Amino acid sequence: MSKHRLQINIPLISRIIGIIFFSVGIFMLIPVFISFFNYEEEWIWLAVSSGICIVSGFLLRTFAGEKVKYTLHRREGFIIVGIIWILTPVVGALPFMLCNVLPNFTDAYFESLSGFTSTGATVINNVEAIPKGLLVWRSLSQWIGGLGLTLFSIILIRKLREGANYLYVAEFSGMLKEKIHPRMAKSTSRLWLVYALLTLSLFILLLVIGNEPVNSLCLALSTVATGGFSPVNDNMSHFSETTQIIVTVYMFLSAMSLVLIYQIFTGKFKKAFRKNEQLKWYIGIILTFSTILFAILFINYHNPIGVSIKNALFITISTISTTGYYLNDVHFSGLSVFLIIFILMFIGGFSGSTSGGIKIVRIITLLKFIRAQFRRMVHPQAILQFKVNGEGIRPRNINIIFGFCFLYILFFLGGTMVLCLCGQGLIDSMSMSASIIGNIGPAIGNICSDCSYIELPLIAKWTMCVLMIVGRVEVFSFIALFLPKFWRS
Amino acid sequence: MKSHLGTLLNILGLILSIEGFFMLTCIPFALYYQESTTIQFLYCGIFTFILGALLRFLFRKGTELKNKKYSFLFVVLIWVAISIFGTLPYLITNTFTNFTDAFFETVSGFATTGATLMSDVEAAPKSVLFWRSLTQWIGGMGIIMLVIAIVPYLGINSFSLYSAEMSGPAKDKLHPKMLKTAQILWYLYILITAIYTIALLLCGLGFFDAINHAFSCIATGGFSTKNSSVADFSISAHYVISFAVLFSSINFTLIYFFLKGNFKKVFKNEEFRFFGKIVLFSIAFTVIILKLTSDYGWEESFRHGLFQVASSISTTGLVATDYTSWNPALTLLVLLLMLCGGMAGSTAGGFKIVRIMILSKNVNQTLKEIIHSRAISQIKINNRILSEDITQNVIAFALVFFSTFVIGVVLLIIFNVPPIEALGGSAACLSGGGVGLGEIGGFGNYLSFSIPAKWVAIVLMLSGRLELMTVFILFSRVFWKK
Repeated sequence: MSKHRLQINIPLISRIIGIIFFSVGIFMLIPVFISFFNYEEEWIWLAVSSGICIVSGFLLRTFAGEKVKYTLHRREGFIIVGIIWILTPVVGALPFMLCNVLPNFTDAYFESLSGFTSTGATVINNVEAIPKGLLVWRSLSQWIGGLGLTLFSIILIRKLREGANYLYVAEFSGMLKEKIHPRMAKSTSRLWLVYALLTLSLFILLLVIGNEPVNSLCLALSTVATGGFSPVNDNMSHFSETTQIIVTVYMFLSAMSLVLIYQIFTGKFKKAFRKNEQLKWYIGIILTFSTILFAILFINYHNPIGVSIKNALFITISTISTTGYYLNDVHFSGLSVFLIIFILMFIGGFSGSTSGGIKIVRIITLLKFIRAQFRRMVHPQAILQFKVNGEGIRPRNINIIFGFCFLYILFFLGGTMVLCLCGQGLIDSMSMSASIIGNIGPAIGNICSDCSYIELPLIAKWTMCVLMIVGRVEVFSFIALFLPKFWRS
Repeated sequence: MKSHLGTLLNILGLILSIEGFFMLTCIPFALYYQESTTIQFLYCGIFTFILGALLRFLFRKGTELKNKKYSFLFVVLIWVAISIFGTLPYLITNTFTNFTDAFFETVSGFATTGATLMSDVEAAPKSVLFWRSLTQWIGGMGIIMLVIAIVPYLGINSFSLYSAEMSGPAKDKLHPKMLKTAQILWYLYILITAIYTIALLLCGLGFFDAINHAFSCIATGGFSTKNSSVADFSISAHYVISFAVLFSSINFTLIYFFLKGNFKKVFKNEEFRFFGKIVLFSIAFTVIILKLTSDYGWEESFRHGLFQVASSISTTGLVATDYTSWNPALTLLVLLLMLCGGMAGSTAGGFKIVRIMILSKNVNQTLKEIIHSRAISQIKINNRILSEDITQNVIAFALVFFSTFVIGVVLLIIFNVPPIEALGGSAACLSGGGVGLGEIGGFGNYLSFSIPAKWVAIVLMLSGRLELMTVFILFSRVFWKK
């Protein structure tokens, strides 16, 4: 077979992106209304951005023509996912630029990408000074991106069939094998339903306990997406303790896979708990780390017991779910706290959830793998066999998972290197890089507690953008897009 | 188990008597420099020697080592034992007053780490310094290799020991003529040491400094006889040391071919080429960044860049200038190079180049497979197909290595080491680099470590040198189950 360049189904890509732009534009109408009813003059610019999105989406669809072939190859799946994640934030950046909040493109793109990848790192210094509509847009972009832009397109393009599967695999590469429904489009729309219900219930709860409507909306959207944009400058410290506790519970839920939540909602407890080792580990990890944190907060910093427990749980869950909300006084209270947060940043939530990081399944698998290898050192003749979630793990799975971790760490180190070269300290760079690639958000190690990436030079900001995408698409799609050697067949 | 114990004590006896003999070689230096340590070295040397001989005599019926399982235990126990006896010269001469410190220094020597607790090296007796360098030299090639060279007279099946020592992807199994090969390696080791010594003498070092630094270079250890490490030596000495440590981190089998004039075999070796690429790339990167971010001239940037890259990747830890004040990106590079380490089958520590090569090839294949959904083709190194077992083994090693590093950092921080020092300390001890970041980097030492932190460092050094799995398996339930 001769090497030839990959034929890419450009009309289909154009159609998919068109549809995504179009729907992003439709979603953008929500902030337009909110802005309008808050008597902000920026509503017009939000409306213009929305218009641009809708029109460009429409044009891309028309450009694709009517005779689109709905066939998709595996490689194209990866490439499409990569392209979607790079391009969508471009239109998402329009409101920031047009409202003159972040006039230059780099900053606007950073903020928008940080939204869509549900990272939550911000380059806006004074959040409270910007229009409410824009605040809602930030959180809304997290909400849209949280569950995955690709899943979105799968619902909208029902003709994809197998192709949908490839897209799904490309976005959740690794070991996602759980499916609620054999038919892709239907199962993904159910996921969105669960997602929407979670958000709605949180929104109502927050309203009921007396938060302002806009704040409640922003928090609800950002929390369920495990994003972490806060509508106020003090991040979570601004809100009441009840609010913090409720948000903690929802962060805990959001880092679990939506499939699991769906099963619990529909009463399939057996299926949900028996076959899922992740849950056991997830709870175990949270309890372990929050106990240590509790000890530190209680003993070293003499906080009262109740507050210590709440803060310990809040920090642990906020980090492991890769949400990245923080409490000003606690998150920056010392090295020991920082160290625990730093380790948690790499763990992440369930596969198939909105969280980032390495993800618990992978960690379980690798730990079991190490144990099996030790056993083989003593009994060289023994056959290596172990199960995760009831499925036998083969060397191929290990290769894939290890490959992921290897590249993840490599990108993390690369990011750290660039930040160091841009004049940041080593520990700060490591913290920022880990926080960004894990889609968490704030730079916890930073000595300054305002956690803004605004001071970084241009090249560092773009590097952070790359890391956000890499973390969100789980490395492989990004590599498929940028290493030409993988384009060749 | 009883017969195994006999075998263990038999080997231990042999090794202790050798160690005793080496202690005695410090006496000429004590005499020459008219130090009061002569009699003390005589005592420890003779004590260790006689104890060893006694053990050999009592357990002369040591049988063959049949169960491979126990070779793990033996290697670790022997290493610990010689380190315990190695503390005698420090304790008896009052160089260190407590056991932890003396043990730290000895383990650091035998593991060729080069992490030191001596704040004022120049004030210590020369004979003690010589012993310190000697521990590296002995540790360098591995006491186990020593045993393999002498073992022909013993008739113990030593192969199982050998495979435990080199649990890496040792593809060049020396099996058929192993003992002969080991002997050749041993002569080679002495020869190279002699060459280094002469080269350093030519660079204007005194005999004592030259031989000590030659020991440090061949063993990729890092102990120096000066407070400022090698900073005050001549420029030519810096270049000589840079190339010496790079040379020492090449697989000794390749060095053998090299010295025999078989250059083709050396330059065709994939691991060697990969090593070369990493070294050249890192030097280029360092030199450019140094030129841009510091006030060094070109020559100085090049010299320091070369020296630091060489010293780090070979996990030596000799220091020519305080690199901790460089741009943090370079500090990170130093750390990564240290963790990366030299080639398998050299005295360098770290993760080893060949493993990195296997991993990157594996990841590359996996990527292709995921994206193209095609069956994986096999990985080849030096035109030999690697079995899946080996790749899986290397992956497991990588995971264990990484986790040990992280756990090391966490433990050090728990024991009150500041984060930068903890990061550097864990990397330096695990890989055998010896010098870390912050206070323990550059010309610093480990005195600021608390007692428990020192023990963490000791465990890291030991397990790092013995390729981790060899040590950790002793703590697993599987190992002790019948």
